[in-house]
Amino acid sequence: MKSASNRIKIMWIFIALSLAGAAFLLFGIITQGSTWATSSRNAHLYLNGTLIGAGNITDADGNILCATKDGSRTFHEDSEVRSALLHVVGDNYGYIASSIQNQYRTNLSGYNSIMGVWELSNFEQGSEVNLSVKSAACKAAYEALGGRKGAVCVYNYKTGAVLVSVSTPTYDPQNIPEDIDDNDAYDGVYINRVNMGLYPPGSTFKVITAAAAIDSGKGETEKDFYCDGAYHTSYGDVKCMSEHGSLQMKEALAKSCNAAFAEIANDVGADALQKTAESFGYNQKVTLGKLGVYTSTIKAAKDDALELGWAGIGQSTTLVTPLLQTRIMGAIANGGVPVEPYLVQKVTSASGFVQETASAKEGKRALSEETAREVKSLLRNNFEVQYGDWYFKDGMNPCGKSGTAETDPDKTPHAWFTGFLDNEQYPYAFAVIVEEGGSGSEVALPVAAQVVGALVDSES
Amino acid sequence: MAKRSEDKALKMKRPHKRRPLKTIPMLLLLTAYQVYMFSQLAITNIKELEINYTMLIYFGVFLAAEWVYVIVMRAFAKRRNFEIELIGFLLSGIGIAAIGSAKPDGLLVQTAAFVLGLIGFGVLVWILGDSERAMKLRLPLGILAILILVANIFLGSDINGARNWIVIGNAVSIQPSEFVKVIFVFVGAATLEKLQTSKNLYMFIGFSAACVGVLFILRDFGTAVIFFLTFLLIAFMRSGDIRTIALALASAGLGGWLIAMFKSTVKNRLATWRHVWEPELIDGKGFQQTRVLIGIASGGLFGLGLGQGNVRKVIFSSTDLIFGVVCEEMGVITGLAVLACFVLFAVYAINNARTSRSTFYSIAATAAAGLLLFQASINIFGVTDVIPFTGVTLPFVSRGGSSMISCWALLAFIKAGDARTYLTTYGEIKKK
Amino acid sequence: MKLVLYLPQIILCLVAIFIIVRCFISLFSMRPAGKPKAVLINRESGKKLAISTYETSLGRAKSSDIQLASNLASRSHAVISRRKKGWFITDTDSKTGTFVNGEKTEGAVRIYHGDVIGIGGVEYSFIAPHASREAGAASQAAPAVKAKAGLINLATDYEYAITGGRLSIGRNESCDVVIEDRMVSRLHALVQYTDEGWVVTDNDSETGVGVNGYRVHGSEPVSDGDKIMINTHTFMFRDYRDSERRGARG
Repeated sequence: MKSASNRIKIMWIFIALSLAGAAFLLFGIITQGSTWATSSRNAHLYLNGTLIGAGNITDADGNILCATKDGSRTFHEDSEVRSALLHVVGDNYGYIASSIQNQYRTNLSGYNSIMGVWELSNFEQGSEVNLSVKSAACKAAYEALGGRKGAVCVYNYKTGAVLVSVSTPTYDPQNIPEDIDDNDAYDGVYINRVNMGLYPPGSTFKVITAAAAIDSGKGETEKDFYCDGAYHTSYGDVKCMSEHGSLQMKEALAKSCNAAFAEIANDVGADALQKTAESFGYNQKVTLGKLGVYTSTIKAAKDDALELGWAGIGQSTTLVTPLLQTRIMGAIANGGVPVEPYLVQKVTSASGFVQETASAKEGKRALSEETAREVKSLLRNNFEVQYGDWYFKDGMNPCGKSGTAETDPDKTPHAWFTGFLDNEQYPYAFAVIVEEGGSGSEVALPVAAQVVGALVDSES
Repeated sequence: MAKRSEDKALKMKRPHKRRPLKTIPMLLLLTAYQVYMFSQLAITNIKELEINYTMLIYFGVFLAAEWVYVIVMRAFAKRRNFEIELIGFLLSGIGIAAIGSAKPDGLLVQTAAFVLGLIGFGVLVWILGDSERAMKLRLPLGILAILILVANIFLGSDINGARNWIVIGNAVSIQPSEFVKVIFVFVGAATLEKLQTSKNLYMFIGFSAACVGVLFILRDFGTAVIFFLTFLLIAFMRSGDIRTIALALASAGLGGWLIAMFKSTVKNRLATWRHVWEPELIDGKGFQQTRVLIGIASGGLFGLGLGQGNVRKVIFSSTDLIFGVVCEEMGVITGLAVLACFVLFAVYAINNARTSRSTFYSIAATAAAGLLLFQASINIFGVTDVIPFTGVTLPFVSRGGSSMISCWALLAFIKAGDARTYLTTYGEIKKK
Repeated sequence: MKLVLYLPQIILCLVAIFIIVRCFISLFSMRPAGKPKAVLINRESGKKLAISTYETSLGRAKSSDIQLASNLASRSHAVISRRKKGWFITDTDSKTGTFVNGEKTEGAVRIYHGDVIGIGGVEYSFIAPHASREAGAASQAAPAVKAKAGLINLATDYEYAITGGRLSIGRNESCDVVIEDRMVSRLHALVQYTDEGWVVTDNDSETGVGVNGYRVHGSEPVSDGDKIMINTHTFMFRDYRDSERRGARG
């Protein structure tokens, strides 16, 4: 009997095979369950190819941006709000790939991995996705851009909530223009420029060069520079807008002197400049929930004083998204630590079960508190001596830096403005780009001021 | 004082966790579970209290059969332990509920088969009580099995591509291969002295080859695979001979390869495997698997409730795809619990072998548990695209009268392997 | 909260899991009620070979349950099996044959206490006290049990004689031993004589039965002097035939 009962143990092999199969199946359910459930063949979710009960998308104030009515998706009643938030909310045909409609389809559909589609089949309603954006301010941004191509991004640098995210050109998803695919005015209309538009940062990059200079400890802040209209290297010149004469870094930043900053970049060195830029989020993955964000890139030339000089003033090969620009400003405003931006504030299932909530999540420290304070004072100084506070209401303490990014000698440069309010009540960091807009301080700054003003008005 | 301390010792050493099961409270709980499931189906409209009375009758018969069985066995056969039957009831109940959702017309046959299966179970447990008597039955049963299968070749009707049905009159159609499964296990098992005297496996190999061969002729590939795996298991348990097993595996591998090469259906299934989501297959050859996977994901952990699913509307939902119905309507947890039952039966059969009263019981119990596990695995993993899809049913759960009866008969082997089953009759002193 | 509607689904799944887990724990934790006990004594050397399984293979092969040293024994020589009726020995096509009391066996042959078994030129005495020829004959003719035994209540020292091979203990008045205690079930336990000798059987009682401090699952063999505990009541089991035999030997 002994040997017979020993031989029976062969059964363990078959049991192990069965368990392996079960583990494989379970693994599939866990990793692919939501893909299976949201397959267009799932009759629980779809009727004739459209979601039966997709949940609402709402903004920070609870305004419904998108809802299901009588089996079809309808958007906000205001055409301008629809256009302003097209790239965030998304369309009905999936053209706007990096949108809430597309990326949060699983949640909206009413499926969740624990209850399956139980809620949908009982309450006939998917989960509600509540966004952090304010539709009124977004509309203001859309109006401020005034039909020019560009992007506006504003976020609360204390909480991470993205308050404004507008990308143009855009269209009304409820009245799609017929010439959308032929008209040049709609060039790149399906791209959300806030998180997927990559532009040279231009002079706005001087903020990072300045931060690197302060951190270098080489006494750059006290150093006297002389601008005779260009920074001269053996390879060629980095041209400046005018002959600024003798000046220090503070003044150089306010006047956006290219010669001084090209020299600073060379003083600091390629490695230190690149390191500072990377600590701010260049060459790093920046996230915005499930939405795709392109990575901003920098590659400071090491043995080329001219290229390094250009890099120091944000020309060269450096590329950045408006979202990262906003985050960089947020990091400086928040004492050196960036708070990760988020767009989805809350996902609530039909039965009132909160599936997801956003909270202030701090990213890796970008610069020391000391440096952050110094950079902040430099940016404040820009307003005090150069741009003027009159764009904003009293006591807002705006800080910022304009930029004029050259792309093509034949074209008008892009106008940038990045900045923040050094204000406890209104902790907003922002970035505005107007493509081929011209001067940053003349074109982009008024847009930023208008949008921030609308936000402040809506708060008070 | 000494006595006191002993009493204390008794209390302290009482291992609470290992208390044997109380049958009646457990059966009450099981009944409550089943009544709730059945009421979800039978009460079609809760507000107006619309009740499907035909369904109610079937469910009533099912529940009554459980209770009558337990009461009769307690009273007349002096049985005390019903764990194996309780799990059988649970599985059959899940099946009845899923069929009530997927194909209510099938409830009559299923309920009747359950009652017959339970009776067959009781009779077979009694027959197996005496291993000598059981040993004598092996030869006639083996011959019977071959005759049944041969008759199947000539009398069989094609249903769904396989010829594995015999239709009697117009009403009753039976699946002979289901009953041959039981005989296969019966013939495969043997007492130790029999194992020692007939060392070669020629008879058994011949019998197995005949069974598998006929099943191939009948184009019932799924069942043939199950038979083959069970054959491997029994052959090893009987002989411990790795060379025989290797030979069998090699020849089966070669045969399988030849079939895969020449039979378009098998080739098709292999081509579909792991590609079911591809656009050209999703509504074609991968239709059933994808619908089951969608159903599993849609059901979530705890299911949508009986009658709320979509898998039930797919063709073969009450037979091959019943696992999808169970998962979608009763949750993945219930679905995996069903698989766990078969795994645990197998573990139990191994665990029990040492205390078995004869190798006949331990081999029979292990072979039966193995056969159930193979069939359950092939079904569950087949419909979920873990392995190639083959049309076998899920034991106890899928709709099918012959299958239900044969599953209970297989369960009888596991029951007979439980050393407590025959305790009262084995050493009973009859009162004058 | 609307989620309350989901509770039945959760409960349903948990109940299924509970039933499965509870049933299998019970299955796995069961102890079989006693094992067969017999001994083969080598008549020359006096060496004892214990038989404790229902089927025991004898032979020279390592895989045999009892490995024989004799060169005349086959690799798998014979099987001793405990069947419903009693003990049997079956020669498994050995070269030199198996002998019971000097006669060569063919097929299964029933063996009794004291029989001499010849395997491979060595003689063994088969010792299984409960399988004597007389007991076997008696149990076949009529199930009257000659065993004499008793149960002593250690609290009162009152002794219950066990007649007819069966004694019932419980709260019910019809029981042989009536215990008036709410913690004792109506029919709590049985002490009975079986083919395995005396056993105590727990009749699915609420509070269980203990033998020498250990809880009984199903049935448990008892022998002279064992203490049977039912709730707080302790009884001593006396097997007089056993003690007589021991007395006679001593």
